[in-house]
Amino acid sequence: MSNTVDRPQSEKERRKRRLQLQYIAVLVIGFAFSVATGFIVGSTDGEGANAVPAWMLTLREVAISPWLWLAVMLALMGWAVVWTLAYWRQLDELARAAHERAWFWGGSAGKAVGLSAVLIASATPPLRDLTFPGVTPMELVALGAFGVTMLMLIGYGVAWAIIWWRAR
Amino acid sequence: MRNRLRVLRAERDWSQADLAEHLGVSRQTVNAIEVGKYDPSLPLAFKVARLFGTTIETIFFDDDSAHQEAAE
Repeated sequence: MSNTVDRPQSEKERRKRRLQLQYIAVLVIGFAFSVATGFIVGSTDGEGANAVPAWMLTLREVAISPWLWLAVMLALMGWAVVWTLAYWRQLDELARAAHERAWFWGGSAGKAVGLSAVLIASATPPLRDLTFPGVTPMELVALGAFGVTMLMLIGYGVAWAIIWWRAR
Repeated sequence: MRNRLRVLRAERDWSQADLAEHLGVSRQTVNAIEVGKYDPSLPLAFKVARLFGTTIETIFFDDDSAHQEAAE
């Protein structure tokens, strides 16, 4: 007689499914929000402002407000912290180890590539002497930080995929 | 580290998914432990030992202990 376990969907699996759906929902809402903002700003820019109804111009004022973006970013970061804690709690130890190793090796490799690129670019002509009219130094700093962070995330994603593939 | 997890599981006619369900981990974790790609934490090793009604060292062993046993 087989001792095979009868396996209905456990609470753990349901929780994991809920978290995945929540993640996808936030991605979709975030994408839709970005596209809508881009559409409003794009269609009301320059001469476009004369061809749109007044409520679109009001929306534009809201869409380009830094306070709106600060509020959105804070809300997203708050949600990300809560979501990550819930996600982390339902992972088993192999999955946690995979994330930790991926962050250490992949994230570190991404950071090494990004920082090397920044250092080389800042010390080597002609890259060193490039100027970007209309872009403030602070915007360049933010762009550099964003670029390095993206490289870290890419490294982390690649390392995680390799680790998870090998442990399947 | 090597282990007898696959043998113990086969004796009970359990799949990896069945064992994973008993231990509260994913099937991938059971597979990674079985093939020696991942060494379980002590709490999980104790859980495995309790599940099979035996001790940790009769399930998990390193090459040194295997050689030692062969020599004895």
